[in-house]
Amino acid sequence: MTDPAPGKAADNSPPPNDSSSPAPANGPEEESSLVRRAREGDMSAYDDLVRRYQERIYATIYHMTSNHEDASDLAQESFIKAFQALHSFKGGSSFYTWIYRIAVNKTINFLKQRKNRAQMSLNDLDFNAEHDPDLVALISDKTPRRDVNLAELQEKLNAAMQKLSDHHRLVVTLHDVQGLSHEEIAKIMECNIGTVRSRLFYARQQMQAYLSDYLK
Amino acid sequence: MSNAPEEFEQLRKLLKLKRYEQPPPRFFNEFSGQVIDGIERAASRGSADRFLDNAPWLVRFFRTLERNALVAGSFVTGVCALLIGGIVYSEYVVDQPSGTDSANADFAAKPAEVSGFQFAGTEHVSSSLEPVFSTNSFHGDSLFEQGQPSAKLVSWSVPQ
Repeated sequence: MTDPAPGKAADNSPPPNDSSSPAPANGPEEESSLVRRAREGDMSAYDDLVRRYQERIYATIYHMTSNHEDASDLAQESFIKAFQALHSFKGGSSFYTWIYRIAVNKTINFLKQRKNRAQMSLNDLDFNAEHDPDLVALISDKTPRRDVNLAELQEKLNAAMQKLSDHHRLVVTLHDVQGLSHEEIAKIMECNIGTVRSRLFYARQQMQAYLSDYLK
Repeated sequence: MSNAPEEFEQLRKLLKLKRYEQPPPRFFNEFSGQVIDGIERAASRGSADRFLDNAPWLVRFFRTLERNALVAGSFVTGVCALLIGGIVYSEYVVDQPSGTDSANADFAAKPAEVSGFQFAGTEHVSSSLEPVFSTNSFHGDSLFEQGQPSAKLVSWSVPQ
């Protein structure tokens, strides 16, 4: 059982976008300074904090909802709520873990309310997806029309993720898509590492079963 | 249970596709500005909005009314029925002589000793059990014209 180092992606390939790099860009001192200034009402400091984490927070919510509009709204609400609750942030964990926790709780509450009226609104695939050797290997045997098949694959993948329970989907998102370590996920989900591992295993098994036609 | 990478290697390769899903161009350029605007809007909102923020059930209720005409119609009918019922009931209560009024009249007609109380000043009965304060001064026709409670001198006589 492998466990990537904290802040490192789960596999060795470089992430194609910023949203999957979990480690904060700057040192903790600067982050705490930004938090202190934001708590004193300095909006430019909070703007810096938002810019620092917006892509990761948005991506987490997007992968959970498979809906761009919902993800955009929830990410905004999460940052607004975090600012309003900043006085209660004691610094026991990093701001990064704290804001993640707010976003995750907000998303899970939203998904509980949404339940059966889930509607996917998927983002476009980056142009580089067509050149990813792993993805090319997955589809090249079947058809020469890679773009169409990538789009189809994207839809099937999102549909399979939506079949998972919220907590299982969250673990897959944070670990396999965003590359967070088990420890980081345990902190965000406020559970122990064993729970994270077992949820990850079960979720992968489920996904593998749903997507068996595409994984041969 | 094993989370060995090779066991789910194909799945993990497929999940890499998720990382290529990108929001519309310039989305992140404008995002933080929208957050700051949202914070400023929230700070300037009125107390009614803040009340609704703390009562999500009320917001859900209003949304249900907006979405479902049948529920909205039933709600309005129920409110009207309650209002009309309240008016009719209040009319009925005003017309009927109430039981409490007659009971009060009976009580007023009874001599003071029958009710078990004697007011100091109306009759000279000296007892340590007598109330020191009296409200016996009924002046005028209305109860509202009663005098304020006043202290009375009590004579204490020891029985022989």
